[in-house]
Amino acid sequence: MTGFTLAGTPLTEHFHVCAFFNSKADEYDVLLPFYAEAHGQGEKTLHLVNPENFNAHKQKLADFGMPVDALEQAGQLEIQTWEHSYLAAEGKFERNSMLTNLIDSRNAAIENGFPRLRVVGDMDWVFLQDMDLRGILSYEAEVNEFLMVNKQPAVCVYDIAKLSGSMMMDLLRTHPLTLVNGVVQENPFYTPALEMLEELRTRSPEYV
Amino acid sequence: MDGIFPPLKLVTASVPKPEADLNSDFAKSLRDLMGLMALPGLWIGRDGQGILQLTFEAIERTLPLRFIYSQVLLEAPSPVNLLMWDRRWESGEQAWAQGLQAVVDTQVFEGKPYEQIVRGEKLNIIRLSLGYGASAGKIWFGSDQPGFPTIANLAFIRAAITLAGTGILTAKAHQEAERANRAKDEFMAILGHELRNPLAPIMMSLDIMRFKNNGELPKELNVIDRQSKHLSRLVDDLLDISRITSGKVHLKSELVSLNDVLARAIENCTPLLNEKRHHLSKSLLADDQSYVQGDEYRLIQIFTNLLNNAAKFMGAGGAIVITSRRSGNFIEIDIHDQGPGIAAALLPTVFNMFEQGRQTLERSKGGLGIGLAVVKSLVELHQGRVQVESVEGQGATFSVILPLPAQRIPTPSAARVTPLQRSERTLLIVDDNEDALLALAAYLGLIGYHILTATTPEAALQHVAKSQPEVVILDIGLPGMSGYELAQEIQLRTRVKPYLIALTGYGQESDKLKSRQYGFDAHLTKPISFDLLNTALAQAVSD
Repeated sequence: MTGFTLAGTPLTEHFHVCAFFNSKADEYDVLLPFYAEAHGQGEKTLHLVNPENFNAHKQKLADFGMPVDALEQAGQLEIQTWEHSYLAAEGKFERNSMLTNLIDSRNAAIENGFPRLRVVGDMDWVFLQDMDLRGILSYEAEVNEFLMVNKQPAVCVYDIAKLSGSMMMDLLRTHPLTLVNGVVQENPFYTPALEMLEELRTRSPEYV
Repeated sequence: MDGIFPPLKLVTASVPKPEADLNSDFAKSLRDLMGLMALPGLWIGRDGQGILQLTFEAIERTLPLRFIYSQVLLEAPSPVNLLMWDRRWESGEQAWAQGLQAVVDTQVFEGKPYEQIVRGEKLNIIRLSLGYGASAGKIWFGSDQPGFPTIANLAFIRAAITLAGTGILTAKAHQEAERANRAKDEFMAILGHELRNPLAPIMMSLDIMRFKNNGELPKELNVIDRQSKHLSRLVDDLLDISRITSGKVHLKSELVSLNDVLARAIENCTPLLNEKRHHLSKSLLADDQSYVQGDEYRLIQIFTNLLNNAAKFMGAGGAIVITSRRSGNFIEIDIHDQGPGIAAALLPTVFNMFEQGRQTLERSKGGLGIGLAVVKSLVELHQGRVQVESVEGQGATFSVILPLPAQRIPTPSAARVTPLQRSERTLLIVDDNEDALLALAAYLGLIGYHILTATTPEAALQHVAKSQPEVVILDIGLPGMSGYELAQEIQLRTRVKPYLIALTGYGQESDKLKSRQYGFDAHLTKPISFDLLNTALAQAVSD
C-alpha cells in the first residue's frame, strides 16, 4: 500500500494525531493537502464536521481543486456532521457507538475497494456543555489500538484558543502523535491506553 | 549526578513502547517533563494571566497538588493573585484568608518545603519565584502527599514556571508592540485628516484661480498646484494605509472594465509623463475581455500608483509599456519600465510598508514608501496578487493578477463629470476652517449662488432663521455642536427642508449611512471634489 504524509511528515508507525490549530486558515493549510493526497491515491476520506461548517467545508475542498460532488458520488469522500457521528446518541457522546461507527466506516471503505480510510474530526464539540469528558478521553485512549492495528490514520482537530492546560495535558497523553504549529511530532507524553484508562478510572468524577 | 540519575541512554525521543521500562518513576517523570514542552503551543494570543492559568492547569493535572497560589506582577502596580484549590479556580481569598496569609508570610528558602495548616489540613508547601523585573512574582504549591516535593516534582514545577515566565514576557512584549502599532495607526489617521484640512482650501483656491483665468495658471501657481496635488496623494496614501491596516476599507463589487481603469490611471499620470517626456505604449485585451469584479476607484488607484512609480524613477525620455492578457482564470496586467530597477536584495521587501522608502533611493524622489504597500493591500482585497520582476539597471515589471469575474456583463461607462450648473439659490456654508470656507464660498459665488457663511453652529442657525437657505453645506466636525446635530436643528427651524450636503474627512459607508440618518442628501469627503460637488448641486437644483 502507498505511504502517506501529514504536513510533509510520513506517518509510518503511529496514526492517531492530536492536531492543534490557531485558526481555520491554519487548519486548512495543513489538512487540504492531506485530503488531496488521499484522493490522489484513490483513498477514502471521512470528515466529521460541525454542522454549521458543513457548506463552508465543502467549499474549501472545492476551492482547493477537489471535485467534491464527484468524490462524494464515488463514495471516496464522506462528510458526516457531529449529530451523525460523535453526537449520534441523541446529542450526547457515546464512546462505544462512536468506536463502532469508526470501525464500520473503515470496514466499509475497504470492502468498497479503497486502500485506506483517512478520518479527520473537528473536535470542537467537546467544548459544548455537559460533555462526558471522561468518556471522550477514554475513547481517545481506546481508539489508539484500533488505529494502530489497522494502520488507520485519524486526525483529531482542536482549537487552541478553547483548550485549558489540563485538557491539553490529557489530550497529549491519549495521542501518540501531535501536530503543533504545523509540525507533526511523536509525542513523548503519550501514555499507553491501559495506563491512561486506569488513571481515568481512578479520577473522581468532578476531576475529569 | 550519575548516582542520582540513570544514564542518559534511557531517554529516547520516540514514543514509549509498551515493552519499554515505563513504570519506573524516572521514566514517568521524564515523560511528564516532555509533555510540558507542548504547552507553549497554547500561548499564542493569550495574555500573561492566561498563560499562568494554563500552566497551573497543566501542573495540577500532572502532580498531586491541593492548591496553587500566585502573586505575580503582570501589570503594574498590583500583582495578579490566582488561586486554584482542589483543581478548581477560586476567585476570592476570603474563605481562607488567614491560612493563606500564613502561607505567604512564612519565610523559607526557595523550593524548600515547609508544613502549614491550610483550611484545617496539614500540607507540604513550597514557594518558587517566577521571572524577574516587570513580571516578577511568587508562586506557592501545596500538597498533602508525604514527601512532596520529590526531586521530580520540583523539576517539573520549575520547568513549568520557567516556561511560563518566558511566555509572560513574550506576551507582554507582543501586547506592547500591538499597542504601539495601534497608536501608530491612530496617529497616522489623525495626521492624514489634519493634513487634509489645510490642503482643501489651497487646492480649491487654485481651482478658482484657474476657473477665473479660463483654465490657465501662472507658472508659479502651477508649481503650487502640482506640489499640493502630490501632497494630497501622499495624504491619501497615508489615510488608505491606515484604513487598510484597521480593516476599514470596504470595496464596491461591480463589473469594471480594466481598459477604462487603465485609461483613467494614464490620465492621472499624464502631467508627470509629459513633464519627463516619457513614451507610453500599451497592448491591451479587447474591451469585452477586460472585465473584472471590483471597485473602480480602487483599481484606478492601484494602476495610478504603479504608473506614477514607473514615471518617477525613470530618467527623462524613458519608455513604459502596459500589457494585459488572460492567464487561466485571471487577467494579468504588466507595467514595464526602463528605470534603474530594484536590487535583488530589496525585491522581497519592496511591497512592505516603509521598507522601500528606507532601503531605496525613493527618499531622494519623494514619497513615504507606502505606495506599493497600498497597491499590494488593495490588489489582495480584490483576491488578486501583485508581483515584481527586476534586474538592477534593467528596469522593472510590476504585474497585477486579478481573477476573472464569475459573470461577464459589460456595462457602458457612465458619464463622470457633471457639468457646472449656474444657480441663483441661497446657499449656506458652515465650516470652522475659515480658509476652506472662503475658498468654497468664492467658488460657488462665481457660479451665481447667493452665499451665506458661518464658522459656528450659532451663526449658522441665525442665517437659517433669517434667510431660509435652499442648500446647506455643513462641515461635520464643528465646535460645540456636531454637523449632525446642526443638521437636525436646521430641519426643525426651516419651513421647507433645505438640500443638506455633509462635508467631512470620513468617507466610509458607515459614515455615509450616518449622514443619511441625520437627513443629509449628499455626503462629500475632503478635499472636496468639484465633480462630486457639482453633481450634488445639480441634484439639489433638480429637487
